[in-house]
Amino acid sequence: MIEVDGATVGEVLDAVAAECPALAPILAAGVSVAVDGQVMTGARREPVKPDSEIFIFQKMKGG
Amino acid sequence: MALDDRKTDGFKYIGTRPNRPDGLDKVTGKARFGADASASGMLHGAIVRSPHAHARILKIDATRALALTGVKAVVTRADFATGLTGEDADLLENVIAGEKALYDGHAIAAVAATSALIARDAAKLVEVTYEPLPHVTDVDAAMQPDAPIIRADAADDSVPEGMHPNVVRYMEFGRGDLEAGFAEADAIVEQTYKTEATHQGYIEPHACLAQLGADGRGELWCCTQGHWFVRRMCTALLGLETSQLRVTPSEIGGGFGGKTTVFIDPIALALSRKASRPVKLVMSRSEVLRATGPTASASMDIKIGMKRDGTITAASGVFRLQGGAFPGAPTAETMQCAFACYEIPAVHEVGYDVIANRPKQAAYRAPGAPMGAFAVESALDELCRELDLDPIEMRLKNASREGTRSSFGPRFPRVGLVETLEAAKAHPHYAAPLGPNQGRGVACGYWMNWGGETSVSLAISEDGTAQVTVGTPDIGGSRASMALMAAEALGIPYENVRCNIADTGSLGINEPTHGSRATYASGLATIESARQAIGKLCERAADKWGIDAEAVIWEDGCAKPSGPNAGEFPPLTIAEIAAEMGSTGGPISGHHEATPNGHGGSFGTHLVDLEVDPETGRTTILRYTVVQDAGKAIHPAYVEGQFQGGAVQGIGWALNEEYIYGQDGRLQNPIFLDYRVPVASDLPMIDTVIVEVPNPGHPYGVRGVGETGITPPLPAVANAVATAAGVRLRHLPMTPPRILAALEQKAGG
Amino acid sequence: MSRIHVTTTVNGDEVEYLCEPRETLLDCLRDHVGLTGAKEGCGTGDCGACSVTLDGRLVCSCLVLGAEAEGKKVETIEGLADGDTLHPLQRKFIEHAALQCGICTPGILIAAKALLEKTPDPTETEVRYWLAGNLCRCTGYDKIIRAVMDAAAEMREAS
Repeated sequence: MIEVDGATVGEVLDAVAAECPALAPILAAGVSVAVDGQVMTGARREPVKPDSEIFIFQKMKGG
Repeated sequence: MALDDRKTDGFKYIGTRPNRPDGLDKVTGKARFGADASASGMLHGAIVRSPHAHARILKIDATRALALTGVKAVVTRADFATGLTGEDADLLENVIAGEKALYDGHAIAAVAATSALIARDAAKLVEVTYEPLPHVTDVDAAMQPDAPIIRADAADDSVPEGMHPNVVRYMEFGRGDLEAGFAEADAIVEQTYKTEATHQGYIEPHACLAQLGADGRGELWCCTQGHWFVRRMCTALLGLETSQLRVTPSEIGGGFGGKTTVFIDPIALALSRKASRPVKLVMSRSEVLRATGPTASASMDIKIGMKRDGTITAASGVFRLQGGAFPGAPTAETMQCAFACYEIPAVHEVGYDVIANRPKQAAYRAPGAPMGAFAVESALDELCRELDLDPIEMRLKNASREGTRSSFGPRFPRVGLVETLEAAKAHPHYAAPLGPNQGRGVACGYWMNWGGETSVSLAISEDGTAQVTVGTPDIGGSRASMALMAAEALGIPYENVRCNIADTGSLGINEPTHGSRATYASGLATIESARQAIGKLCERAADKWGIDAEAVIWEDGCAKPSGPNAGEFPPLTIAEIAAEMGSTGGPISGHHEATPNGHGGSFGTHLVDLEVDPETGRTTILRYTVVQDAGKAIHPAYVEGQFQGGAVQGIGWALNEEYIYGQDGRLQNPIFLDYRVPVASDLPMIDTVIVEVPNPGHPYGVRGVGETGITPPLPAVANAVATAAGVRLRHLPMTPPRILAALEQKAGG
Repeated sequence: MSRIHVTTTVNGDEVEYLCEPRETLLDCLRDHVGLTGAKEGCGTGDCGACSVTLDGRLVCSCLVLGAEAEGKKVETIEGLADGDTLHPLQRKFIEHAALQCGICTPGILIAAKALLEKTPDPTETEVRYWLAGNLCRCTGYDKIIRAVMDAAAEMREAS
């Protein structure tokens, strides 16, 4: 659990990458993100609220 | 996306069961599938495959093959792009071997000739010199310190130091105080469960017709779930510009995830480029089973603690998945789905992605979820027996609902698990009497579903009918669903809409029909496209009436003044507006592009009654009921079809289907006689109950329904066998020999 | 290699083709006669997607040599409808949503027609065992069985 600033998913991911450089290549390779319970992809422009809870996962796929 | 004008009831077309638009073609033999195309001057291809599970390729000599009359080209790895990295490098390595053959059936070279028979003869004349290497095909064996190293550099940074190089990915997550949770429990089950690899088993083998010129421009016809994926992968592997290859999807004879990647398409393109002629390549069934993606096999340690009243206090799981000779086993999906059905205060999960000398796994319907569900739902059933709890009541007590923090972190939005459990409890099936040697099983399952890149166009024709152009291949009746949604939005009859599946040259990028996303995502984009077209139709009416477009509403396929203040005008029908569109401003269409993220997961609860013959160990399914949340069923008959098909694939996984490898590392059952999928006489009717808890992320409330249904059958059948036979099988499939062995062990012990 | 000249009747039409001795009837129908309605799902007689009738007998055309069709009558999915009028089985398959991908459908329709000619009033169990040689991976068979039973009922009423 880390706290970072950002108004969009993209800004948050960039902030996480800056905070934890080891995660940068993993984030660059593509991840799934959940914002307040909604799992999303391709969502760098999705807005986030100051108290939003964000989870980052390995990019998921379906059959 | 703003979905402020969501609609969840009062539908005119949604929820009806019209005939599918491609029905006539499919019952008369006219529908054109992958192998049904031909081209002028066409050659036929055949592939040379490794007979070894693991071997160094010392030499490939095609002299004798090329000398055969009618042979026009031979390709090897040297005919493909070099310098690829990451997933593309793995993809190429799987499509055609480089320095080593990594599994029985791995493609080594390919031949193009004037007939399929000559091509097959020529393939046998390609002389490959191998140096066989030690191999391993079992997931647990592949992790042992003395296991042969399959690919030294396949692991990424996530793998802790000291692990075998065959462990290529490591995952871990959890929260809560596990120790305290288990200390609080009145009963704890701790067991190891295993599932074997199974194949998607689509009846149509992979097939394609490729044409690629020396100018780098190409055409490809193939059976695929996603032709933009095919285009990207093929052009990467051949070193082409992506836009210069046009891919047209054929009708597709089943996929279930297995046709979301490429196997033969890049080879056919390479042969065509080399021979300067179109090349058709069709797999045999044994090629499909030996060399296309089965799912992963799994070995799992589960520990769950429960109070006497049925409350789950803590849970942990270790998941080891083997996904063939390449990274990519769906371990993360297994972990996310395993405990997703329940609210658990303390949970911890560890996952390993392990490589072995088997074909590269491909997605198979809810990839990863059935294995974890088998382990967890079996363990819960063991706890219910120990604590004498009703399995549905126990599940209702712990069920995930809106706001529940999931085992993998995020809180659930509005979901329908409780509703499926209530419906299962109320179903007459649950109260029906059972006879001797019979048992009933209950299990739940979850799949998170998917949105994905989506591009749809809708155009109004001159007579007021509409065409919808989508990029998601229709694998189970989705054209009917798209037409229903367009008809509903436009207010015109279903029959007045035609839905076409576009080639890659006709729309922007679309992800495949995967992740249960077609009806959700292409449907959402269809509705949005229709609404855009309606806006234009209203503008034309407003112009004609000389009023503001805002003063026009769209109702029942007509533009109408919004009220007395807008003026008194008779409604203008879509046909009247369309007839004049050329002179009132030009063509009227709508278009929508998005990566929608409101897909919402789907939960299901299954009930099964079965009988085990104690003499033979054979299991007969007597009664089966699927209850699942569809959000909103657009075409209920095809929703039922997804429930039924998923359930039966799961039954096959539970009872019959498995990849069997010999000591030599070769697949021993590469034909349908020995890889036994369920047949009609194995099964009863499959009852269905469609629960509708509308998904807030879709204009009409749709949730994807395709995948969840394969997840509960594995544990449901195992739980029923435990009652019927009095033995708990923790290793799938529960074949008659395995059940007999368990019965004998029980009698002897 | 010399080819064999075969004269046969397909869906009532006289047809001639030249085939290799080892070519299957399925290959000949698809590659020489131009009828691609019968499908190859396995090539080993296990899936039934290639079902046709040969002198009225239900066969897997992947297990019959093309040369064996000499002088015989072959019926395929392309001959099931009477012009614009669908066979009741075809109509019921569409109405009951008894197909999803549709690759097994031609073979199942041919097999079901052969059943109803022998057994106009089959039980569910008889339908299930008769169609046990026709694999469907999409539907779980439920709607297929219902469609066949419903078509049989309609055909009995009409006769």
